[in-house]
Amino acid sequence: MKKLFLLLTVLLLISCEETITPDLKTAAPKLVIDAAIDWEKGTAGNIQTIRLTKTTGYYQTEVPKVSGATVIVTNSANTVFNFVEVNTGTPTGQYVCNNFVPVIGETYKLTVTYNGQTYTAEEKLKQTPEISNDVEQIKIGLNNDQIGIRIKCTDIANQKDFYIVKVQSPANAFPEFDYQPDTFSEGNLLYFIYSHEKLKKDMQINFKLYGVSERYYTYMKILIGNASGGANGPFQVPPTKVRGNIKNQNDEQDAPIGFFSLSESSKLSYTVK
Amino acid sequence: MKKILLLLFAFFVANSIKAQEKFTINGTLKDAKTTETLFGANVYIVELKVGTNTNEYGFYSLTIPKGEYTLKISYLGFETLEEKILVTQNVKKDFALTENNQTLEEVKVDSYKKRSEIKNSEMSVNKLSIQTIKKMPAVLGEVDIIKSILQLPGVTNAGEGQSGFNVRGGSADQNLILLDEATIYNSSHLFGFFSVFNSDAIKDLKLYKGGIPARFGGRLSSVLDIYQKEGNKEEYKYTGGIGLISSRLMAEGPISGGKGSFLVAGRGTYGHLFLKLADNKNSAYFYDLNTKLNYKLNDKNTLFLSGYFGRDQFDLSGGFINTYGNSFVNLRWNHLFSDKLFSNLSVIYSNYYYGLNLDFFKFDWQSDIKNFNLKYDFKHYLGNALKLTYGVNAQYYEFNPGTIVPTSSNSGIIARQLDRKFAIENAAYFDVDQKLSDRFSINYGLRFSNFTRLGEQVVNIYTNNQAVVFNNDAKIYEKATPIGTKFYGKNKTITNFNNLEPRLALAFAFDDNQSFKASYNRMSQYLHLISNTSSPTPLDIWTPSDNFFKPQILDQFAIGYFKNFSDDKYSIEIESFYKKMKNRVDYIDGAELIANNDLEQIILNGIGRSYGLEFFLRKNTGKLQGWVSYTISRAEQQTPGRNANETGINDGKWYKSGFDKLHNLSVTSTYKKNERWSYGAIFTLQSGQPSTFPDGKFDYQGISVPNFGLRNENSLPAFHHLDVSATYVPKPNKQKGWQGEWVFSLYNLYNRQNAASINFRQNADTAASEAVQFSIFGVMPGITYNFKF
Repeated sequence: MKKLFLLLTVLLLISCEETITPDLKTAAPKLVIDAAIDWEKGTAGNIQTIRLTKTTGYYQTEVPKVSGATVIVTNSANTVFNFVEVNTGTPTGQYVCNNFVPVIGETYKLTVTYNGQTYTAEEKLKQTPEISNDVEQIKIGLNNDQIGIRIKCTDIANQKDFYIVKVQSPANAFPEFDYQPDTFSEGNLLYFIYSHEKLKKDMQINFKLYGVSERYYTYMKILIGNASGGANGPFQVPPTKVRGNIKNQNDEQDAPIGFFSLSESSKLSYTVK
Repeated sequence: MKKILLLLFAFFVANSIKAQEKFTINGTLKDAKTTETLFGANVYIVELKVGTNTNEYGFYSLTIPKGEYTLKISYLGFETLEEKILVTQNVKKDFALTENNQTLEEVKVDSYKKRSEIKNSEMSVNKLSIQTIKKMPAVLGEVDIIKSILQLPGVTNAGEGQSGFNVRGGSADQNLILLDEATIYNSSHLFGFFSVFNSDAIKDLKLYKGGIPARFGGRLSSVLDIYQKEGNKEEYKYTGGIGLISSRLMAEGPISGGKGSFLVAGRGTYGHLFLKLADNKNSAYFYDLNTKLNYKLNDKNTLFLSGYFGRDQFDLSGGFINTYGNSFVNLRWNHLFSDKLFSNLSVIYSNYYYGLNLDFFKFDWQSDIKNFNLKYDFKHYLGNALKLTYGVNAQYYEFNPGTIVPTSSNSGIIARQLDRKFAIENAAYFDVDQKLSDRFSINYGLRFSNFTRLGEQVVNIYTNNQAVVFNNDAKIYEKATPIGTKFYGKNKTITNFNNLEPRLALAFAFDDNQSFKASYNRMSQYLHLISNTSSPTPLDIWTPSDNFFKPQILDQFAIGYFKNFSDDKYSIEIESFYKKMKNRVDYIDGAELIANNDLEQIILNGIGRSYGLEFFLRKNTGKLQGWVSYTISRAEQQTPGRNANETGINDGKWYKSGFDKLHNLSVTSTYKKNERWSYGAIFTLQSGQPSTFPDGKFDYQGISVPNFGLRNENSLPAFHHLDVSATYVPKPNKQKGWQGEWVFSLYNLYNRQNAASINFRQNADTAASEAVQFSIFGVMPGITYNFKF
């Protein structure tokens, strides 16, 4: 949907784009907890990574990595999964667990202790349907001259579902995201279209589909909106503060940025024809 | 109650005047050449120093003692007419005025000037004639009514190429836009680049920004009252124009030997040229059709039939087709009950349609609003010092927020009908215009409005009647889960609102040339445009008030000083206003607006306020005419938490509305060099639009995300541009046969790249965080050839 509006905008506006560097304020650094547990279908899901970083000035090239935190996840049976900091001499901000046990529908609790503050969150592991192998390559764009890839999955019946697709493509220097609820397609086929003006023959595109909770979906929707810098142009929804599900037990007002989410995921690789 | 007493008093006064031997003179004023009736012309009895203005249908009525008088009739751009009349009985007198083809050598001293209204209590009102609008430079040469009103004090919009307009800090959905008394729901073509009004078919327009008379209601911020021409009653005439974007053609002429007349005007665009793309399958075009028919049954009865049909179509290689537009039919009956009592009955059907066909996703979406409107208005000329307007209005609405159907058998989309909504809006009003003395006049009125939501509909029920709940853990608002539903049968009342809307305006004239005015108006609005973008898009839908969407209520106070000086060569108007609004809808973060059947789950009712000071200096006569308008104002909104625990939206803090402009300066001028050449220029300088810039960034799932703080704390760079136009009339003295003119225009003469937005995103090739400024229009030339025969 969003991509289409981008096309609309470009088509309509005899617009002009220019990179500028306005003066920006930098707020005091905040802790960022990137805790998305990803259980790829067909794997044991025992290896999981949580990243701890801090916010930084907008024009900075690197974000500060957080070292020395304690990161654990527990399940409803109080089994503790330790996430151990990867130490390479310089801080990596990566905390890895090698014995995680993912179970669909199970409730997990995240506890991060850092600088005397304790951060916690609770979330269920969500189920994800398989991406269908039936991938269509279509023509899209202003003159129907851009490559579009349409993937689909069958929505899980009889429940409200929310999906996020992560796309890694040589056409773009960083991953791209799309999102969709099952509102229009309950229990039915669900389509996602990926297109990029630089898509070319023989490029290998990696899709990953995640079933997510409604809260994580809303969070990602705001986050993707903020990150895409108003690709919606004049139809842009104003950017807004994002609030995740992680609480600071010591100071309610000082919640970290980030989300604790757990999803099964389905992978598909497609080579552009 | 007090108001009713006042009204009774007014009647009493009127009757006591009646006790003397008096007669009524009434009639209709029209343009001698085009036979169009004239709205707002001044009819004045020199000896008695009393006068009146013609109404929307060119009608006037004056009651005066027996005697011989000089009647003076004046109207903007027309020769003033003076006539001796002997009044010994009630008389009907129609007049035709001749257009003031003011040659430069002999300037008619007596020609009517655009002086500011001094003695009348009307304030915060701007009237623009279509002649004035046509002289203003326009984007790509396309005369645009909405763009022209943006040059007036207190009027802005969200930015270049954005649809709608904002009056005194009100949102775009708070404007009541009337075309021949029918409501227009979307005033823009092509997503805001052009307005839906074909300038050829328009007679004049009046914009009420404050002191809104009681006969108007249903929107908070303004009334844009536009009248279509009636058509020439004497001869067949054709008018048209060929431009870069669109062409127009209008035909008008008499029917039944001058008893009536007709007008048909059409306009269409050439999409491909506009897109500047050759050989592609995309198209973006619009067309509209204006029609009007009037027929005079006899001296006391006239019938009018108006119609409008407009559509926009946007087709993206067949994969995305968006169609939308307004249409209406209006049948009106003007009837004179007596010399002093004028009435108009209108029956209006209007429809706003919006459709979207997404072939990529294999579905079709349609939505519309149907509106049936019955209005009966009376104008009672009780005396020269007293005019009473009263009437009733009943409207029935049918909203279809969306019918979604799959377009192919392999579509994953499931057919769905979003809940249709039904409502009745009724109103009754009276409005008294009274001249208490030569210096002091007053206008007071009261409008009673009622809005009833009707079944058939299934309505959600929530705990504590709250459709939005606050998640205290995460400090965010989330949708509540309904605990049940209630079914309301066909025409059963779901909810009901009643509001009393007092209106008051006062004028005190220090002398013939300067006055002080003050006004207060309360308005209520029962329809909400669901939109959380900074300006409306055709994707937005309207929704009626219900248990969750409370009616919006506004109180506006305004004061002003008005002065004409240097023998009416100049006039100045200074006004200050303060507005406060209740129940302004605000959206929770991450709200899903599109195809949401439970909109109540994403909104909270907030408040709004705006205040400002407006300066309006006009030069009314001479070769060089025009105005300078400057407004300093603020428009803000706030949605606090519903209890101490909740944060509210934007942490419950006041924030600037998306169309807030602290400074807004506009200089509009026209210069008539000679009979062949005339020039126009507009200079606009405004504060940049409010915007939200990041105060940092963070990494998440492999992407770099700008981190935003509170809303609209930053501003885009200042916005300014200069537009010029030149009009060339090859044969200025030709009054018959083919008459043509060329209009050359340059929009944004010095090619200012005004920021429409600044977007913060990662570079697709390097992944570096960058800020990108989008600009819409650079310098844009336009050329149009207008003709009539």
